[in-house]
Amino acid sequence: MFVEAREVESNKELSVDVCIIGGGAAGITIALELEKEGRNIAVLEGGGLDVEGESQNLSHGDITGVPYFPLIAACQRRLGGNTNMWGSWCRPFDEIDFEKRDWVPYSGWPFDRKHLDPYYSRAHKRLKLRDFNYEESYLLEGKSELRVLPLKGEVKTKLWQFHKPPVRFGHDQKEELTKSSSIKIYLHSNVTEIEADETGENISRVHVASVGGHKYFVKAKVFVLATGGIQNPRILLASNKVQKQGLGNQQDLVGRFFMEHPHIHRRGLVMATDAQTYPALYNTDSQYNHQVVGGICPSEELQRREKILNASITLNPTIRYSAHAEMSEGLVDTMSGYLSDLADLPGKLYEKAKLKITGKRTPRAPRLVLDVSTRQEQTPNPDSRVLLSTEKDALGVPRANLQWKLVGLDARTATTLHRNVAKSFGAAGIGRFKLELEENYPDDLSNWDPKGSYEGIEGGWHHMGTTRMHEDPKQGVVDGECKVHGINNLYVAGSSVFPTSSFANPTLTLVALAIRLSDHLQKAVLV
Amino acid sequence: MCAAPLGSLIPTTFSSTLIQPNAPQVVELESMLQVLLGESEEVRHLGAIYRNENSFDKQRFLRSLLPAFKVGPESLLEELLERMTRDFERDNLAVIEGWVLSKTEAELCASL
Repeated sequence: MFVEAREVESNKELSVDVCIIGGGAAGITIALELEKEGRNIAVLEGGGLDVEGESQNLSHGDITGVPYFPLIAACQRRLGGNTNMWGSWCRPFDEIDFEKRDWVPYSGWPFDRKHLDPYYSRAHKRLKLRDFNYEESYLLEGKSELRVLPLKGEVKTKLWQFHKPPVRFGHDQKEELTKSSSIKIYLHSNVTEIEADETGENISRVHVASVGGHKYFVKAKVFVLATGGIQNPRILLASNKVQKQGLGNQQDLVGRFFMEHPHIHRRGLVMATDAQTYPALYNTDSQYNHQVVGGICPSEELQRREKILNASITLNPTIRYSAHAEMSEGLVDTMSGYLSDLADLPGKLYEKAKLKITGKRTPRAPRLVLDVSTRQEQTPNPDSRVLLSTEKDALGVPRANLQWKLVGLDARTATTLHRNVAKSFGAAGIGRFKLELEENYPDDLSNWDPKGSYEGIEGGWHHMGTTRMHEDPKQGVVDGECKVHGINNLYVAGSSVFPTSSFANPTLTLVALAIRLSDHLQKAVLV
Repeated sequence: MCAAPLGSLIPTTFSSTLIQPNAPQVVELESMLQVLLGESEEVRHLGAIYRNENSFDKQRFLRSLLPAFKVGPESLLEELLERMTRDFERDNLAVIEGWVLSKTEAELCASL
């Protein structure tokens, strides 16, 4: 059932089995999974059912690193969280993403991909996706217009799948949640402090407040923090009455390792050799027509040999070529003419002979020019972080200060992928690639300021890594079960626990981890 | 694809006026490439850039194509396409104003 904060008696202390802080994809998933066991569950959602200015303003914060979206928009404070604005891009992380890679600092998960597969499968049901199967033979069956390009070399096609319209957590299950006797969703209920006991080893209760000034407390056996990769560290850092550096922050790790998926839009062009038969699979719009999109990605071998991160590119018909007349006289047209005159040499030999006989010239075939957009993994970097601002919100909680930072490996990953895609397209005879990214950034560049050809690099609204998972308390905020190191009853859910980020969108993986955490709580904690 | 003999593809004017006595086949090949590709401003543009930025031995490049050229145009074509594919596979590339081309492609343009 749904409960408004004002309906709770002021300063009352509620007592439940599980207190979930945040009503987004992770929080709602855990509530629904635990409901099967008849637990008494409270979900504390800071916003209401829709966007509200006063609630949203609590998410406002500072941006002091690489330019980023305003936090007031990037952290949706309403039921469903950021699933209110996602596109349902789903793909599991690759096996290599879970490995400790010697060229990727701080890489390695406490478990491998195989361990997560059963949870991925269950997450697919929560996200209304088809079966957990990303094979081309399955996802592209009967879709001849989405054929896979015959790529050569060390790049390969990988697929995303979608459900349209995307699942909006909390809203799509509203009837189920309304009827539930064990789940209570408290709206406009912002956690302003997680209160630890005097030892700092147990959470005794959380402080809850609404913008209207109403306050109450929630006591629980287990607390799960699930407010996203920016608000999770903010709440932990701000809860500093007992542990002065913030909860779970004895090693100064909370808020560090902030990762996004750097998106480099429309840098690089592909001239397809054959416009007529070029597949639509790599066009991001095919998500709407076919619920599947293909990306061209570095193979594991290429990642290992070139020591780069995981990444992908998609190819959409360029808007630059048609929008700017001067380009029609530039090198794009040159390449179009070149391919007409050279790449079709077999036909030309014949046509030239015929030309001399008939005096007619065969019109050049239309060419297809595609914009290259890159989405990639980000190097884990302790200097990329969420801090507390000196400003406070309307509830007296310090705002977040996001310092997003990138390094040389992030730049080299994109340029290496582009060069290898260029080689692959050339070798396969399917097109030519125009490089448009500046190259030769050194790997040891510890603070890369993306200017020039990288101007406009942006994230994907994906906030990861700020309460990273590691079995060693000196290297992670949470352990392999997502429990905060050193605190007995505080867990973290969501993409903030990711040690590395892959290039794949985070929601499927965070829902899988939420299901895994639910199983753990049922079997090992709430017994 | 047309399997016409080489002579029928080359206009009489080229084959009769441009052949040099000391390297007749090289000149014949050059003439044929001019007929096939030399009209294209785009190809010449790419070739000019490549020549400006690289040391390019036109005679050596043309001589390397002679064995295939002697067999016939289909063989020449196959040789060029094979070389291009091999170039891309082996990282033997030329980047001209950002476009990633095989070195063979770039030299073919530069030979015009």
